[in-house]
Parts: sequence; structure tokens; C-alpha cells
Amino acid sequence: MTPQFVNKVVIAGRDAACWLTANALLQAFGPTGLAVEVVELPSRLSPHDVYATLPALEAFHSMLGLNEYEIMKTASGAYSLGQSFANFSPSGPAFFHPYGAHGKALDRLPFIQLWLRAHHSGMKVDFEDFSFNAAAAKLGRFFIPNDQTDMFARSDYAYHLKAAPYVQSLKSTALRRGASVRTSRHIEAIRNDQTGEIAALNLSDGSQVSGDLFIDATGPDSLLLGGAQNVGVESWRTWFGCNRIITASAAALRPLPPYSQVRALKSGCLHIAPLQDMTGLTFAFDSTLASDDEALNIAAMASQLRLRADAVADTLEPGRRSVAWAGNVVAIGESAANFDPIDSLGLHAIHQSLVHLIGLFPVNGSEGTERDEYNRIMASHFERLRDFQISHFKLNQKVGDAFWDAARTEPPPSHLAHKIEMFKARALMPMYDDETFEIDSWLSSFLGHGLTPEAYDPLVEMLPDDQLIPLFQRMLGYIKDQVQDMTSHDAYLELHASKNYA
Amino acid sequence: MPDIPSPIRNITIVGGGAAGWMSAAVLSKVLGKTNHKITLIESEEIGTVGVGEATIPMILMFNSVLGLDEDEFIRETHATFKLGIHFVDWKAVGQSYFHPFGTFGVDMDGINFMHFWQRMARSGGNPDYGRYNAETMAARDNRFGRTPKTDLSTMPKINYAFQFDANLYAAFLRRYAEARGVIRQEGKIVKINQQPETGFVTSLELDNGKGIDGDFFLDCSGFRGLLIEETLKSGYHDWSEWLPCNRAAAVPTEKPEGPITPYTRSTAREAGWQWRIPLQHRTGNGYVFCNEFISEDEAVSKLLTRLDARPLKDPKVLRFVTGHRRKMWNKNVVALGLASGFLEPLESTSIHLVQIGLAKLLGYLPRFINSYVAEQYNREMLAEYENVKDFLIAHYHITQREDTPFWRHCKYMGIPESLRARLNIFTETGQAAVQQTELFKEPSWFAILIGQGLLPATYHPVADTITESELKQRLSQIRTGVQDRIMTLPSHDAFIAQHCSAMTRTN
Repeated sequence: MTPQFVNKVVIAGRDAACWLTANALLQAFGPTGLAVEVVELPSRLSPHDVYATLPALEAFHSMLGLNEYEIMKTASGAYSLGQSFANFSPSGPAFFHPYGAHGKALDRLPFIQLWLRAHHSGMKVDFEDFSFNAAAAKLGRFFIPNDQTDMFARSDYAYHLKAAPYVQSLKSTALRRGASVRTSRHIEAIRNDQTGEIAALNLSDGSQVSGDLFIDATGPDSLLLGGAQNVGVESWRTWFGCNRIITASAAALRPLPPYSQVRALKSGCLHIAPLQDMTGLTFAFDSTLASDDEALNIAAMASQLRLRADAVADTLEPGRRSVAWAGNVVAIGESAANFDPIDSLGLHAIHQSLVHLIGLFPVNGSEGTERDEYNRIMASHFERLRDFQISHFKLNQKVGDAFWDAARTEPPPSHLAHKIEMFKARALMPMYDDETFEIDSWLSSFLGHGLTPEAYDPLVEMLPDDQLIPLFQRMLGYIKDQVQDMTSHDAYLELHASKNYA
Repeated sequence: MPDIPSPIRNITIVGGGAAGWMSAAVLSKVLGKTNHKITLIESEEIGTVGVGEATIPMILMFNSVLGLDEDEFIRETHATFKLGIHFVDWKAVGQSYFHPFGTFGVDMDGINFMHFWQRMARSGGNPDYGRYNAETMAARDNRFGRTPKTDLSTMPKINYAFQFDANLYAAFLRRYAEARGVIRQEGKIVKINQQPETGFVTSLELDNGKGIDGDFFLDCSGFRGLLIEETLKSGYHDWSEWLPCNRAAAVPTEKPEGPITPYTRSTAREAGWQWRIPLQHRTGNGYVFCNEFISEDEAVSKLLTRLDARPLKDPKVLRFVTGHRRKMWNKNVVALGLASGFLEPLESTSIHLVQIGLAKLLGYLPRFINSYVAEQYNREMLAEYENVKDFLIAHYHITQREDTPFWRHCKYMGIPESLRARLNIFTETGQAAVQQTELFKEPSWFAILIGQGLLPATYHPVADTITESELKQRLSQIRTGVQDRIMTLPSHDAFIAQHCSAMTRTN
């Protein structure tokens, strides 16, 4: 039997999910003759909205043929070497989650085991001090990882991008690649009664768009998957106390920090993402603890920034659709999974979805094999991402704050619980399929939140102190020298990707 | 002039403004009391011109010759630190640039940094060259700090000068000089006696009947030039064909709200320019103008509407003619300060020209007065004046402004051949061909010429010998050094409060 190929994909939605999908599908399948038609719904972006990303986006952009410096210029972008977590314990200092590894393993002994051994014998140097990214970030430096830095430890970087111009640039690229676009104020799905699949969409101008495969990029409303296909939500509210979100902006920070900041507050978490020409603030909070106006004041106080009068409030409902693909509808972005802002997962989840959709692109729209596999993989991806997020709430030490007490006492999902147990024992870190965050990220989070393993790998005991200490000194010296020679974040942007100049 | 075998022992200084007391201070320090007697005559009735005075970094050398404690000097003169001059509306209304002390970037491969900057800017890079200069960036943030002598880092050092109260400066140096044996005579000079054959000044008679002898006289009597002009008729070379401003209305204002800026501001106006010199306790303001383009009354009233704080006094109008004495050293009289010539304070050179005169005078100080030394001194001093003059003319002449008759005049006037040659070489090579003895070096010419809108046609070919990524790497390293330096600096206000606030004067 000759398969009936998918000839036309209709993407209904808005903003990054919509236009990243258009670019990804055209880049992958454009040469095969696949038609991509976008039904664009009104944007929900505010001028100050910022997309904070994870490191893998760099590779995704280059797969999409997008030039990094051009994007940085267009979107007033800043680089991010990691995230600073502040105030998650009343006494502990801020810790840094670097996008990269820590230290250099010795033979087959992971660096964490070496560090733990030294830590147990009284060494005061923090785990994060063995990270290039953390050291560079603290000095306001930025670097593109090279062979030399990679020989020591893996380093990566992510971006902060101003959402509206970034989306605009994705849109023009997609149109240039052959996407067709129609705008509509709203959509209505017309289902094929026999198959239950979507046959076409009615647009607000009365016209109709039909296709073989439909992408739901409509955001949390999930108009096609949740609406037309009636796929329900698995709520994650039990682990995420924040149900409301305020976004706001302030003037650009000088010098420009090459990292984002997360600050735990009584009623939620404040996120600060620097851009070349402004600073994006996101405050996710529990609306039973603060009104919108109060939350805005809290964000202003905690950030010590003068907020512009452009704040916007919205609801936040973390969770995922029980399947991301039903019938001939694939949800991409918040229509599939809606994340708390912690750890900056929004664009990353879109990226993961698209990579797997391309890998499992259906031979025809109603093929079930690819769909089932996709749903299995994406559920696993989303949950592993969610687990990393939960680690910040679960491991907080803000004892006495109701919001944080509740987060700490809530039993974690089983995968996370197992990780925590293994780590507590002797810093083992079991890794599952479909993990985005690598071992070092988990170690960074667990240690940073104050979890201390009771023991370490007995093999490390064979290393005498007089071998270990000089080894650490050499590593620290190497990092210090390298970082000193790096250029500042501002200088790097000015010379390569400044918003105003080439 | 015949050589007269009269050893210099009695040195008499006429006039006690900044020039007079600078002379007294440095002569007493360098010559001591054993072989020389130094007398300074001043009259409290005459008063001094002294306004808020801005300086250039060479004053640190002067202070170090005197062995001054810098913090004490600042406290005593209510001084602030100065990183350069902010020129507003000079190129065109609405545009500004900064002339910093210190250099741009780091010279590389044997050529000036600015060639590398030009290559980058011409290929679409960020044209803001101020980012490669630490003083500019510190000024933008109102920061200041001294670079410790022990600082061996590769970060650029901070070059600075001061903005101080000229009257307090004179008073401070008076205490210094009197403590080193300088005798101050109060009185007005009513008669000047000369040797009949040679015309040398021999003695001065005061209105209180005193007579003051001298072998050697320093004329610091101000514009009038009591000895150098009124007595010795040395002649005046008028430069107003190129520098037409001939009036200055000066008014001090209260300390304004906000941080004290670590720089002087010069704002171009319809018929000249306005200075703003912040001191610790007040701000000096003035409008330098040409009375052929605006009346004194109108200039004063315009000045009063363009102040950022309440005036403390009525404005005072000073009159001058730009130019110099044809002989600054004539017979046994050396003119210093306004008596030797006048160049408007656009680049804060007044104190420096006194200082450089004293340095040359001491450098060549003969045991017996002779014409060779005088002629050498005059040649060198004239060259100093000429250099500053050309530099000042460039500010007026290179402009896009044609909005008033004054600016049209400046833009289309003829300029000295020396300046014409310099502008040509700059246009062709991106270099101002500055010679070693000149006061304003390549970075200063660059800042002014580019700032005023004269872009070189090209840059040095050596700047093209590295790859683009090497270029960006080097520039971002330099930029990082500047940024690192700035981050080490406290605010200007905090620095003053910690080290040298006038509020913490010990007496």
C-alpha cells in the first residue's frame, strides 16, 4: 500500500510556539514539498516579555539556520551562563547553577566524589567555584566554549531574548521559507465525524483552512488539543504553589550580568532576566498570599529596581495535557505543557517537542505508531523537566514561611524522590531517559539547596590529601587564569551582537 | 639688549592672584631662602579675577614639585576631580562629546589604537569610541578613584585634574609661600622706577610710601600688564581674528541637586559658550562671548536663564582680547598669567600656562639676566600659546553649526596655516601629527576633531593586517579592561566624602 503522505500542516496559534514550529517543519520537510500554513492568532506578548532559554537552543537555532548574532541584535539579547538562586534558605548564600560541568574527573572518579572527600576533610571551597561558567558569571565575563575550556569541563550558554522582536524575526524567516499565513481573531475546529480528526479550521473572516496535520500552538487554552480533541490536563499544582504571574520591566542593568537571577520570596519566586536594553522581571506567586498590586510592590522591593509602568498579570496553571498528540493534532508549547517559570523551560519545551516531532513525523496524519511513541517520550521529557523544577521547591529551607513549608513537605514524584535518596547516601545521581538537565545540574541544585551526602565513593579514600589538595589548587588556578583573560559580557556583545551596532 | 652683570637675588612678584601666588610658592620652594629674597605685592582693593578654575593633569606635577598633600589641597580649595570636558552642542545642537584626560584603548603593532577603532567602526561596529577610554566611562557614571601606585594590573589608569576655587587656591598657596619666607607687601603700586639707560625696572613705590627694590620682576598684575605693557610697552599680538570672543560673564551658583560631576561642561551658545565647573560647595558658571554678536546685557540675561541652581552673586563681566604679549620676558620682567596673554578657558589652560612659564623660567633661570635666555623663553612660550590657540580654533571652526551669525563666522573664517596643515594630515591619515613638545597629544586632537565632526578619510594600513576575529578579540579585551577599571571606582561624591571633603577641613 502506498502511504498517504502528510502534504499540508496547519499551525494554529501565536508567538514563539507557532513560528518556531513553522521554521522547524519547513527546514526539515520543506524540501519534500510539505506545505505549511499558519493561522496566526493575536499575540499575547507584552513589549517587555523575555524568553529565557536553556543551552540547547543554540544548536536548535543553528539547525534552523538562524544566525546567533543576528538574533541577539534583533532581540536585544543577552547571554546566560547559568542562574543564581538566592534566598532559598534564610541563612545560606546564593548559589549558582552553571550551564556546564564542575571540575575535572580524575581517572574514573567523578569530580563530585573528589570534592565531597575534600569537603568532608574541611575544604571550604564551594562546588560551584570549580565551574568556569560560575566563575565567569561572577566576574561579568562571557566566553564561547572552545577546545581548551572543554578539555577541562563542559561549558554551555543560553540566551535572554526580548520576545516580540524574536518572534517577529522567526516569522519573517518562516515566511521567507515559504510558510503562508492568515491571521484570525479566533478559530473553530471542524471535525471529521468518522475519524474524530480535525478536517479544517474556520477563521474569523469566514474562510476555512484545511490540512492533514494540525499543530496546536494556541497556548494554555489548547484550543485544538484540549478543546477540539478534548484532551485533559494533568495538573502539577500539588508541587507548584504559584498560580499567578506578573511580568514587568526595568532599565537595563550595568554592567550586564551574564546570568539570570531567581529569588525566593515569601509568596513565590522572582525571576530577573537581563537584556541589552532592559531588564525583564517575572514574579510567580500564590494569589492567596498576595494581590496583583501587592505582588507588584513585592517584586519592586525585592529587585530594588525601578519598575516601569507596564506590568501585566496572568494566571499560571502548571501541568501537562495527558497526551501531546491526539488524532491529527500535535500540541506544541503551552498547549502541551505549561511550566512554572523557574529554570526557564518555555522555549526549551517547544524545542524538544519539535525535535521529536521531526523525528517521528507521521507518514500520514492518522498514523498511530509515531503518535504513541511521541506521547510516551514527551510525557517523560516534560516530567523530568518538571522534576528538576520541583527540586528547588522541595529542597527549600525557608522554614516558617507557609508557602515554602508546604512546598517542602509535599512528597516529590517518585523519580525525584529516588534521586534525592541516592544523592543523600553518597552523591549518586541516577539518570533517566529523556533528561534535559545533566548530572552536574542536578548536583548543583541539590548541593546548592543544602543537601549534603552522608558519604562518598570509597574509591576516593585511596587518594591521599597531598595529592588531592594540589589537584584542587591547580584547577582553581586554571579557572582563575582563564576567566581573567575572558572578555566582559558587555564587551563581547558590543563587538559581536550589540542591539545598536554590528 | 646688553648683558647686565647683575645677579638675581631680589625677586619681586607684582600681583597676588593665582598666578602671583603660584609663582611665589614654587620659587620659594625651589630657590629657598638662602640666596634669594622673594617679595609679593598685592592690594586687597584690586581683587583678583579668580573664578571657578578648571585644570589639566599637568597640575599634578606642579603639586608634586611643591610637595603638596593632595587631599589637603583639595579640602582647602573646595576642589573636585576632573576627568575631562563634556562638550555639548559644539558639533551640532543636540550632540555632545567628551574630551577625556588619558588615552583611548591601547596602541598596538606600532600604531595608534584609533586606527583599529576606525576599522571596526567602518565595518559597522559600535562607533562609540568613548567606551575604550576609562575617564569617559567613569565620567558617564559620575565615578572617580585614584589608581594606586601599587596597581600593576593591565586595567587603564585614571588620569585626572582638579576644579577648584581660584581665590581659595591663591590663599592656600599664599600660606604655603609665606611659610617659606615670601614677604607679602600690601599696597597699590603708584610708581615704577627704571634704570635710565637700560630701561630695567629697579624699584616700585607703593601708595603707603614704601619702596620695593628688585633685580627681577614677575608681572602677575592681570590683563593690564602693569610692568610688561604699561611700563615696558612689550606689545600685544591680537588673535581675535580667529578667536573672536572678548567677554566673559561669570556667576557662581549654589551646589545643585544630584551628584557632583567629575568633569567640566562646555556648552556652545549663540555667540560663544558657557562653562560649568562644579566645586564641592558651589558651581562656577560663565558665558564666554563676542560682543559683536551679542550685547553684554543680553549675554548676562541669557546666562541667568541657563543655570541649574540659584545664583549666589550678581554676574560679573570680564573683558579681554585674545592674544599674547609679543615679549613675555622683557628686560628683567617676566609676565605670567593674564599679564602674558589671554586664551579663553575652553580647554582649561590658564593655570597650566602659568605653570609651564614657571617651569621654563626655573629651568633656564640665569644667574645674570641676559637676552639669550629671554629670547629662548619667549620662543618656547610663544610655541605653547600657538599650540593651544590652534587647538582652540579647531573647536570653533570644525562644526556643522550655522544657526547663528557667530557660528557662521567661525565656520567660514580663515584659519592659521599651522592648523590647516594639521587638519589636512588628520583627514588623510587619522593622525594629528602631534610633536613631542606639544601640550595636547593625539588622543586630545582625536577627541576634538572627531567630536566636532571631522572624520579621517582613512586609517593606517597596519590596522588591516590582523583578521577580523583577532580585531574583535583585541578590542573586547581592551573594552573589558576599561569596564573592570570602572567597577573598581566609587562614586565621585563618595570618594570626596571619604578622602578630601571640604567639610572636614582641619582648621
